[in-house]
Amino acid sequence: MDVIEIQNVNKFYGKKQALKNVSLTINQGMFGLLGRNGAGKTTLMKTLAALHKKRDGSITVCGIPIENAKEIRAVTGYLPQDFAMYGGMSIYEALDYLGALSGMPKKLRRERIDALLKRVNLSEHKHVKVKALSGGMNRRMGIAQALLHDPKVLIVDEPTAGLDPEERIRFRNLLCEVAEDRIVILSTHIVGDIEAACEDIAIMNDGEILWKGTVSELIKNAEGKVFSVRVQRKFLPQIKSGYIVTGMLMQGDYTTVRIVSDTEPDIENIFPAEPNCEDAYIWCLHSHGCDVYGSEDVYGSAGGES
Amino acid sequence: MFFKECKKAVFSITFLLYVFVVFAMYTSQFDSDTSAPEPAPSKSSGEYGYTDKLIPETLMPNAIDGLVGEYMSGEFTTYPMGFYKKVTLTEKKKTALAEIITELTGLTPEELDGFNDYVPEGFSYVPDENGDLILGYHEQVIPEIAVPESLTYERFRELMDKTDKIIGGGSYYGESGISRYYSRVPKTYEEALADYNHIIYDEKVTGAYARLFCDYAGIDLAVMPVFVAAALVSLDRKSRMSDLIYSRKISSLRLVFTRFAALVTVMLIPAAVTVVMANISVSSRYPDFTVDMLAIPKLAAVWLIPNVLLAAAMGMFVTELSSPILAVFVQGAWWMKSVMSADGLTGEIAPFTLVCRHNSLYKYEAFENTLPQFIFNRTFFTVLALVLVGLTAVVYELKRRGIWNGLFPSGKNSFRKSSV
Repeated sequence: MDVIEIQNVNKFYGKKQALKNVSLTINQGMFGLLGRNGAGKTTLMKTLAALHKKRDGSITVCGIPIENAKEIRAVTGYLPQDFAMYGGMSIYEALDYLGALSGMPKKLRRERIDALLKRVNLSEHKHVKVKALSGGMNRRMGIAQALLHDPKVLIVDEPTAGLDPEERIRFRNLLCEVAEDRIVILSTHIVGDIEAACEDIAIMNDGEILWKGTVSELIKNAEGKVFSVRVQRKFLPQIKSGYIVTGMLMQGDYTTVRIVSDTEPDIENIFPAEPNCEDAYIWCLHSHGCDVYGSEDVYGSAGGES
Repeated sequence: MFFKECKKAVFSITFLLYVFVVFAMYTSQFDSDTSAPEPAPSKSSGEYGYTDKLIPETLMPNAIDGLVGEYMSGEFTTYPMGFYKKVTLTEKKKTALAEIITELTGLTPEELDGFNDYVPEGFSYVPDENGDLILGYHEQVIPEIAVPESLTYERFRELMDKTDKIIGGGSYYGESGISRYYSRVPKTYEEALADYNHIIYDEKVTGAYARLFCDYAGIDLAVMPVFVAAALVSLDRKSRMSDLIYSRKISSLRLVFTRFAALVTVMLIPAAVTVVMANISVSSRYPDFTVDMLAIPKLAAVWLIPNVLLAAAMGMFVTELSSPILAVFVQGAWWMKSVMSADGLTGEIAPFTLVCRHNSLYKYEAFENTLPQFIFNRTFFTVLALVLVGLTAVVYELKRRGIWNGLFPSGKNSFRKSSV
C-alpha cells in the first residue's frame, strides 16, 4: 500500500508551533510541497523521515506507523536541504559507506551504485572526491544516495536551490523518472519546479496546509484574478504600493506589469490575463489572508528563481 | 562498516597527532630512560643507589631538620595538585607551628627567632674565615637540634600531619610527603644485588621493564584518544552529514559500537608497535640473559587497553552529548588532576586512579602490594568505558529521533535551529 497518510499532526519547537494540524494523503508519483521560507516544509519532511518527533496526530508511511523509526528508515530515502558528504571520500566510497549504513551487502551495493551512477550520469566521475563536485553533480549524487536502498518513498527537500537552469531541468526530469514507481515528495519554494514536475501539490504557510489539490486546480482558482497593464515606469512605485505585482517586463520607458487582485484594478488600459502557476500561488496565499504585499520571500522565490 | 570507520579515523589530523605523541613519548621517555642495561652492583663502588624504607630513627631527625629550616626561611614549599607553590604563614599559624617545633625539638620560639646564623641549603653568599662573601653550595645551617627521647614515632606523625594542615596541605610533612622525601635510605650491597637478581632472573628482565613501559605509555594513552574520538564523532556534524546518517537503517547501538571498536583498534596499533619496539630494544640490551618476550605485551594489554577504551568512550560520549571541545576539556582535566595529584610515582595505585604510575624498574613489592587495587582499577575503567559507549548510543538515538538535542546544542545540526 504505497501511500502516506498524515492526520492532524502538530509539532512544536518550544512554544513555537511549527506544524498546525497538518493532514495530507500522498499517493504514488510526484507530490509537491510549496511554501515560502519558514513555512514548515522542512519540519514536515523531517517528520516524515522519522528525524523529528511530532507532538500528536498520526502518520503512516506505506502502512508503517512513523513511530517504527527503523522500518520507516528502510522504506524512505531522504535528500536533506543542505546535502553534503565527507569531502575526502570519492563518490563511490561515499555511496558505499551510506549503503553499508543501510545494511546492504557488498555485492548488492556495488551493483546498485554502478546502476545509479549511470542513471544520474555520474559514472565517469565515480572516483572524483566529493569536495571537487559541482553543485549539480552534488545534487545528483544526493539523489543516488537517497535511492541506493531502493526506497518506496523519496523525500527531497529544496533540491534545486542554487542550481543553474540546465541542471535544474535535468534534476527535475530525473525526479520525474524516479517517481514512476514510488512516492516522491518534493519540497520547494520555487514555483517553477512544482509546475514542471508535480501533479498533486500542497501549499504550506506558517505550519499550516493552506491548500491542496492539483496544479491545474490551483491555476483555475486564480482565473479572473490576474491582470496585465503596460504603464510608464514612473507609475511603478504607485502600482507596487497598491497591488500585488507578480511580474514586470521592462520595455524602454514602459513596463508591462502583472497584477493579482480580487477585482479589476482601476488602471487605464488594464486587461485580464491568463494566470500561470506563480500568479496562482500568490493568489492562493493572498486569498488565505497571508501578507504578500511587499513580501521579499514571496517575490524573491516566485519572481526571482522561476 | 568496521573497516570504513577505521579508514575514517586513520585519515585525520588528530590521528596523526596521536601517533606522533605515542612515538614521541616512547622515544623521549622509555627509550631514553633504558638506553643502557642496568649494571650489576659492584662491591668496589661502595654506592648502590637508594631505596625507600620507613626507619623512624633516620626519618624523624631528617624531617624535623627540614621543617626547622623552612620555618627559619619563612617560606614553605608545597605541591597542591602537583603544582609548585610557596606558602608564607600568617603570624597566628607561625605561632601554632612554633609550638609544634618546640615539642619536636625542645627549642622555644624565642630561641628559633633569635638564631641569626641561619643559612638555607643551596647556593648562596656566605662569609669565609676572612669575612669575605663567597658563593658556594652550603648545607643548611640551623640551631642544634636534639630530638627528645620521649617523642614517639606515632606522636611525631600526629605533629607532622598537624604541620601539613597548618601549611595548607601538599607539604613535605603530610603522609605522602614524609614517605617521599624523608624515607630514602642508601641500599646495601646485598639489597642492591637482590634487586638486580630479581629483575634479571625472577622477572626475566622484561617483567620489570614492562611496568616502566606501561607507566610512560599510560600517561599519553589516558588522554590522547579523546582527541581522535571527538574528531571522528564530530565529523558528521562538521560535514553536515548527521541527517543523512540518521535516516539510514542501521541501529544507533550498532553504529556507535562499530565506531568505538574501530577507534580503539586503530589507536591500539601504534601502541602495539611501541610494545614490539620496547621488546626488541630491551632484549637486545640483555643478550646474555633469558628474556620473557611476552611480559611487556601481557602487562600492556591489561594496563593500557582500559586507558584507550576510557578516553575514546569519554570522547564519544561528551562529543555526542555536547561538543568535542567539552570532551577534550573533561578528559583533559581529569587526566591533569590524576597526573598532577599522584602521591608518588611508584606503589600508590588507588582503585579510581585514572593514570596508574610505576616509574621504576625496581620496587616490585610496592606494585605487588597494590595488585588487587590495580586489577579493580583496570576492570572498573573498562566497564565504565562500555557504559559510556552505551550511553552514547542512547544520546545518539534520542538526537536521531529529534527527541533531544544534547546539552548546549548549537549550529546547523541543532534541530531547534533548523529551518522550518
